[in-house]
Amino acid sequence: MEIIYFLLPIALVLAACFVTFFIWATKSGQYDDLDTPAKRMLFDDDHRKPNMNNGINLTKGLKDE
Amino acid sequence: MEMREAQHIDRLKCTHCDEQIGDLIPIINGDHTFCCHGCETVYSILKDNDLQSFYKIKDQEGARLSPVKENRDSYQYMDSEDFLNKSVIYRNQNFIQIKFHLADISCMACLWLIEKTPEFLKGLNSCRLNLENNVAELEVDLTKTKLSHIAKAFSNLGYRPNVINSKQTEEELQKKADRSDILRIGIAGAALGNIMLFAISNYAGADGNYKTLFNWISSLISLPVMLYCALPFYKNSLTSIKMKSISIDIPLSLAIVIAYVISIYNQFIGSDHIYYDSISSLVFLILLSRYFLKISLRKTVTEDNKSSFFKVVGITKVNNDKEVEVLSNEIKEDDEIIINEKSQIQFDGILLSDRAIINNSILTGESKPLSLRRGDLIHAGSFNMGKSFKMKVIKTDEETTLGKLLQKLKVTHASRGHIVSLTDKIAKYFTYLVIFMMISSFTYYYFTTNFHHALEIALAVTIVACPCALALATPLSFLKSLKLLKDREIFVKNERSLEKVSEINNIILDKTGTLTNGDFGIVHEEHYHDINIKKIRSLILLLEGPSDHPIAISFKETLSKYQHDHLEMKDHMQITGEGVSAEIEGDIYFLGKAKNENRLNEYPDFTQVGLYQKQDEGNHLLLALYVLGDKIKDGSKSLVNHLSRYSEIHLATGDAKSVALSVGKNVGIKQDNIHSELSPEDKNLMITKLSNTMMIGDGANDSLALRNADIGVCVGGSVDLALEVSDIYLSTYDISKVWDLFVISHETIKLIKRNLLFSILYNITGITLAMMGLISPLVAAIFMPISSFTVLVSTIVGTKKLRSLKGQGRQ
Repeated sequence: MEIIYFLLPIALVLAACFVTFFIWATKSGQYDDLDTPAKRMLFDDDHRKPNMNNGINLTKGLKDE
Repeated sequence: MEMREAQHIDRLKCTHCDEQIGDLIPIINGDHTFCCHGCETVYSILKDNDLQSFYKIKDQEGARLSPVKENRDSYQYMDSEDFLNKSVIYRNQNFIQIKFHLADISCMACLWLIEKTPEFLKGLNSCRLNLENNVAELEVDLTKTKLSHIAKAFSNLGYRPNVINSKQTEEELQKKADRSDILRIGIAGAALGNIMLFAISNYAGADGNYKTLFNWISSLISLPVMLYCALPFYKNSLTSIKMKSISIDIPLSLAIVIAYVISIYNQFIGSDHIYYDSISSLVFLILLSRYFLKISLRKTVTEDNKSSFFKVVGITKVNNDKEVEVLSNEIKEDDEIIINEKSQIQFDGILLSDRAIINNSILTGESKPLSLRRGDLIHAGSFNMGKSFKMKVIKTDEETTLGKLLQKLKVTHASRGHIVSLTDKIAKYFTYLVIFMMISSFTYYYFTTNFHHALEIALAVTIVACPCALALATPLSFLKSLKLLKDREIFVKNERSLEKVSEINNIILDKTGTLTNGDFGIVHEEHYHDINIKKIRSLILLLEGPSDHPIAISFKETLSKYQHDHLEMKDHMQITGEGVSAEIEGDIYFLGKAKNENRLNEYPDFTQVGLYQKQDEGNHLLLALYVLGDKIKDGSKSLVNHLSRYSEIHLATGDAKSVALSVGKNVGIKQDNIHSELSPEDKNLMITKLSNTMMIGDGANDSLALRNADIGVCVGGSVDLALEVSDIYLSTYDISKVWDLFVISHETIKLIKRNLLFSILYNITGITLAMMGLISPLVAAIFMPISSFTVLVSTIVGTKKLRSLKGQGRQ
């Protein structure tokens, strides 16, 4: 059972690492939005070429156009 | 409005929003039909940019879109250097970062579309949307585009943008608080998991060196729980001590601090009474339930609090005969401005155009539109019902009548006291009980055994008496009810208001906009002699065409949406006080006051207008009869009927006595309880004279009363001023939902009481065991989670009524 004296510190260090990582993630804002990313990941990536038109219709109603 | 079904209904649907077009005028573009120009614009943008997957995602999600509101704002003010300096979060030579709050985001398809915008909008580098608060963060390249173009593009897609000021400290503070909440929960959870490993080994029989080692590691791991995670409990305890009251947090903090100190002491003397596992599980569970409650309360408020009444919008100012668009906060006294059709007026001023039609119900509660002439006074908050007009500003912001009311709201503190929650009321007695138990068991054992044993028992009592199930009971019950309410479009800002609803016995109802629809429109129509409905509408439109009387405006507003024929008219005549007549396609028609014998008896106090055709013999033949007025909402009568079982119902309105009496009689309010011609201050005075009051209203004239009533409820379509001061907000016009609020509140109280009963039973059993010296750490470790678990199960099961309510949410 002496192996415990070896395994314990490893387990604790590992746990400490995860907690540190969690603290870092929270502080850098990873958990600021808990809603959107879950939905965002469901969209298919369609890598079509950006269609940079000059905004037909998009700015309809602007006086200076 | 009860428009009779026409003989033929084109089963047309709007391509964009699934709205039935019926016999409204469809807008046709190629093979597609639309209900309005707004929808057409969105569809064509999506089509031009090959983004039709939007509709696929929308259908998959089963979401329904509402018709897109057309918005004429040009957002030019966003291009001014002044505005950019104030609102931009980050700026360098290449791009700016800015946050928009976007309105009308309904589903995942909106998320998809909004985040796709950088692919087709020139100059927009990136766009990330947060669905929790509908805030999009944009990166815009100002060398390629103008900010106003980006804003206009979002507005054309149907998401009206509202810039969020970068200096909003409130948001920053909230973000900070959220992060530390998550940190606390995460750390408590991690500590709990690790401590459990060691605790279970110890319960399973680890002994000797192992046991000592495990205990020391556990005590180290629970240190952050005690010093960081449990901090909110200590803070709350201190606050309530300062306020000379007792909250549930006091016995809670007491129990965990004593348990921790005792555990360390027992570790030194080699005793088994060690509670690290119980402490951390308790802290973790309570933090978690409180966090969920906080989140579910918050989601309701943010979106509505985004705009204040005097929000900064673009205003057309007349400067030496030239029209320029400036920001509304740059408008000063004596400026001449143009008020567009269907827009709200933000200033007090004098009408410069010949005529104008406005609705001033926000301030006065009077639903009939007013017809103004040159030189008449216009108040801020009025709504322009007719054509655009020119006015001279005489007062701005706080100087206006509405602004003064706003100021009054800010300076008068709410007269209602702090609502003490049921849990805190019980916590008070509970704390006294625990202290009494502790002292009595200490005294008993001190005289029968020794000091050491007596102390041990007394402390064990305090620890076991820890009201963790009690602290969990309330937030859990509220979580469920808040969800039910949200499905019914009822939003509660504070869980204590929900508790208070069950104690209400005086309900004060506003008339205009609350019991009635709030606008002067067609209430009922009757057709005679088998004439095509389309022809009748066409005739009325034609006859009222040149007129700008409030009645004419109402007719044109409603009827012009329908398909109509093109007819020839001549000899149009206006007969003052009577109506209009003209010759159309060979026949002479008259539209005006209905003759007494034609009036419908069901609508005695309403304006009734008849369309007559002149016969050869000189008589007039009645073709159609229209009843105009402010229609009582469908649910009003049944609501008053239901509510009167629980409480006294009052009606308070600024409108004339005869109107108030008629509405009151119709919905079934006692004549003595009908109060009319009240100013905002009068309404407030009325509230302060009654006890346990609930004010239900929507206008600015209700806001003082809404704030000072024990519970302020505002209904759909309220002015944001009313929104800000009320406790509960209905996002629907359906007033009968207030009844659901009552039922759910009463059921929630039942559930809370049951949960409290369970947790008190557990605590009493625990305390009794501890007093008999029968409690061991293992028993305590099992006991605490079981009590919390019971409360959880009891909440999930709910009450019979809550279960039956669950099925019928938003229809």
